Amino acid sequence: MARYGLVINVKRCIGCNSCTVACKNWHQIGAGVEGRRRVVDVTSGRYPRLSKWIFPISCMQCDEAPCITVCPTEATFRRKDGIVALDAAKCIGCKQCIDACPYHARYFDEKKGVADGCDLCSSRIDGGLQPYCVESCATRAMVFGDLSDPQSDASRLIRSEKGIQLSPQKGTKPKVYYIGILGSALEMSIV
Amino acid sequence: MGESPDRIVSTLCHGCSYGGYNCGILAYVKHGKMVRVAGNPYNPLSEGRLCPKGQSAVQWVYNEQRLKYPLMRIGERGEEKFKRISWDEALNLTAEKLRAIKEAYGPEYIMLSKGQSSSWLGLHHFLWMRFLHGMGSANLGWWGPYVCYGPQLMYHKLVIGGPTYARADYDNADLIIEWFTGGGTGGASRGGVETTDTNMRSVPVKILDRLEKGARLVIINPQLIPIGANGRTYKWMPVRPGTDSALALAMINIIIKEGLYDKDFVGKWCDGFDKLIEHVRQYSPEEVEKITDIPAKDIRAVAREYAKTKRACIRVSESPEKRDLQGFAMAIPILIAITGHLDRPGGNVWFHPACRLGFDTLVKTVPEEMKARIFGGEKFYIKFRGRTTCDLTSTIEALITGRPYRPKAMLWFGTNFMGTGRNPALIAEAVKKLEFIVAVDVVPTQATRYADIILPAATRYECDGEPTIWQDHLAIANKVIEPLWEARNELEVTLDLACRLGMEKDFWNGDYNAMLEEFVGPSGVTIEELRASGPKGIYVPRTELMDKRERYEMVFENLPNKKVQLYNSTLEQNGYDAMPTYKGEPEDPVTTPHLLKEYPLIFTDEHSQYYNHHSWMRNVPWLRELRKDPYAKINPETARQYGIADGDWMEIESPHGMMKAVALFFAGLRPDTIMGQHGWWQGCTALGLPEYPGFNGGTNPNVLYNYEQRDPMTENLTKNTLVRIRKTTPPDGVAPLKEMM
Ligand code: SF4
Ligand code: SF4
Ligand code: SF4
Ligand code: SF4
Repeated sequence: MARYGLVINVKRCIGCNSCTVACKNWHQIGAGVEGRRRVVDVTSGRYPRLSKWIFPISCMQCDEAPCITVCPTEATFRRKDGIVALDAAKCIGCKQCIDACPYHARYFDEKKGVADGCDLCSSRIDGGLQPYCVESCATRAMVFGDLSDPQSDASRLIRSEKGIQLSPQKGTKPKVYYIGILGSALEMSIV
Repeated sequence: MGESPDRIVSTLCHGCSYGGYNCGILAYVKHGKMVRVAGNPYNPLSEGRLCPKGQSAVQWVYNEQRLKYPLMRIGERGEEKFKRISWDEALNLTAEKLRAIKEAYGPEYIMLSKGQSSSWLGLHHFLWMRFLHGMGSANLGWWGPYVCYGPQLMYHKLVIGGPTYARADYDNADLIIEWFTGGGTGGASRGGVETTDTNMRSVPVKILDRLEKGARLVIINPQLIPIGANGRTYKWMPVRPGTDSALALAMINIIIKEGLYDKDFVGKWCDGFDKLIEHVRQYSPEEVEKITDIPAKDIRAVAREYAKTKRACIRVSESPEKRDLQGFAMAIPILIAITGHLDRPGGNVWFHPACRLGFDTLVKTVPEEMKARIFGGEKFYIKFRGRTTCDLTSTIEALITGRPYRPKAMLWFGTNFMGTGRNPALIAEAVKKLEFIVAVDVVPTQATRYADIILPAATRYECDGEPTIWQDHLAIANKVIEPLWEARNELEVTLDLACRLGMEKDFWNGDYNAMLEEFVGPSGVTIEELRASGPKGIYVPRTELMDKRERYEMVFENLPNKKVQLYNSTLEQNGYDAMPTYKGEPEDPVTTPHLLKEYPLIFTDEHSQYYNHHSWMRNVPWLRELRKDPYAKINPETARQYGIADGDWMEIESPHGMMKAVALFFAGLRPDTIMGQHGWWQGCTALGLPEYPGFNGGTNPNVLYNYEQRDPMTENLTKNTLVRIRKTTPPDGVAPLKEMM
């Protein structure tokens, strides 16, 4: 069975937030809510010797996902292909998943009264497509793929570019990997 | 997706530089509504990518802030009282007025101005020129020459000839110098300012692809631009604003002195090298260090590296200096030429489309005596262009003083005079003297408030749009939905108006498709074929010329001796400097150090960012929520000295005026510099954000700049000054015109 994940090549990200808007466009998520994707900017150091890192963050698609464990109605669930998804019809708006997520990856949609987060565009994947933000990223900075297949582009990239996870010490086993970035810069984004 | 669309329409984005060849969009329609967009993977320019502006197309179309109905002024001009009228009334009234003015005074009393939002060198551009020329006037004016990229072209042509800019050939470059560019922030998936000639399919993607192959990226900019983040910068040179030409001249000096220039090229293709050697001697790296604040050793290093790297390109976008435009705009092509980087792979190359679309703009039918009456006709750059456009600052002066004569009517297509023009108060005073103004736009702007007739333009997604070409690929912007409210296609409106003015013979008898056919004619493809081609579009045969390099005979053809003019006798004969000289800006730390006590900081503004286009698109909620406030970037260490926190409103005051902006902390900006952005005025109703005033005390950086001192040849207005800052309260919001809503 497939085990889908995402590789974010920070070397290519220009922080344009096209993916942020892409997700809202594709999933028809209105303005005024956080949405499923955000871009963080970590600038440190002093002029002119500074380091500036910009990269996107969304649901890490954890293999050990506390959002699933805490959800009282099984609205948040894992699909057979490993994707953590959410059935809005079952969501009672208790926000427990939002609180449980160590990556601040979920948001609450006040209008609909439900939690929401990235599901790697599972409905597109079911139709044989790529996640929309991956497809339309302004710089092709992301690679989607099956991590159980060692020959997939995503698996190869993680191996060859030594992909790292954000805060692996949280123990949730993310399936989103970053390449081309120092672990320390990555960590700074969630404090 | 749960719900499948009823249809998917292939079209082109309306986000930046409308009228040219934009990123390909697939628009999803459900129950007659455009519900979402996706990138068109077949489009060779964008290959499925979109920037945030393209992604937001739906919110741009279904925006409550759009102009919805034709309006007519009922109060005094500027009093902002309008009433709704029908299209028929509006166009008849317009035709009547234009006819009367033409008869009573003459056609030159009618002017036409367009903005980048409505068209840039596409069909719109052609049609509006034809319209104006058809009326017998040549008074076409726009702000581009004052605030944008364009005016450098005259200097480039004077130095290195060519049909247009010699652009960065990223695909083959080993060293990339981004000189005061946004690194593609203006149109992230397409890349900055574009015309049909460019290779800038996508500045960021091209640069990134090349960096992956080991190319080095040099950024010359007072701030670290996003393309330089994430460890991508090889060298960042945070030059002091206003001094870039000194830096370029020092580089030329070093390259000559150390014998690093391309001797064959200079010997064979350049005129005036000896004079250049003499001239640049004054720009020693040590002297220039004092001016630019870039260490002499760094200037040497970058000069050497550029000269020694065979495949090295420089991209300039908007010029960092405007009063001193000549210095910068001539030094850059000289630098490119003497190092042998001109029209060679990986250098700066002329890109040609396989063919040029278009039709006759009837310019030849405008009598010479009319061209002689053009505003600013005595200015060098107006003459250089064959007096086919007028000079806008001269026009403003003519309106105020009545000399040499006061124009009576103006047609504005997608242009926001007060938002993008320098000295907005003077512009407002000037346009109040007009007898008749028609403004056509998608949204009400600061300028439409002054109009007599306001006409709601449809977005590109509501029009059977125009064909466009990029290199050898033809695409067409197909209609996604019928126009909303009473909005209409600006092209159709122009044809309609032309017919009402009795010009139907020259305007295809109002037949829209006939116009499109003539426009696409040079490609040999018909409109029907193009529409039928769907998302793939049509490739036309490439020409031999497109893929050739070192086309010097052709590009230097119109230059004296058919050679690069390192020393420019044409300019000398006209009483101008024959070589580039660093002059500084009207106010900057080097030119006016005495002002530093009162105004200790430098102010300039960046041209573009990801979420809007000039003064457009702040009404789009998905974009606006990413950057809510009119901002000015400030180094946190500087801010602290003034007790300013991130997000505080700041008062920014220059010797000429005051604006307010929200402090945006950025450690990657020179601590002596405040970096604003032009175009902030619009409110965002959906997010409850008010409109801000565009005059003194508002959010418009144009009030800060010196209006008197200009580049002598192009009339370019500076975008550098000195300021003092303090923490303040937000400006009062401006109530939107309720009649427009
Ligand atoms: S669209 Fe791509 S380049 Fe832009 S912020 Fe997202 S990942 Fe980065
Ligand atoms: S990132 Fe958060 S929401 Fe996503 S799977 Fe992990 S815990 Fe759940
Ligand atoms: S994968 Fe899909 S749901 Fe997740 S952020 Fe991208 S567009 Fe949104
Ligand atoms: S760069 Fe952005 S705004 Fe410009 S055409 Fe492409 S998607 Fe549209």
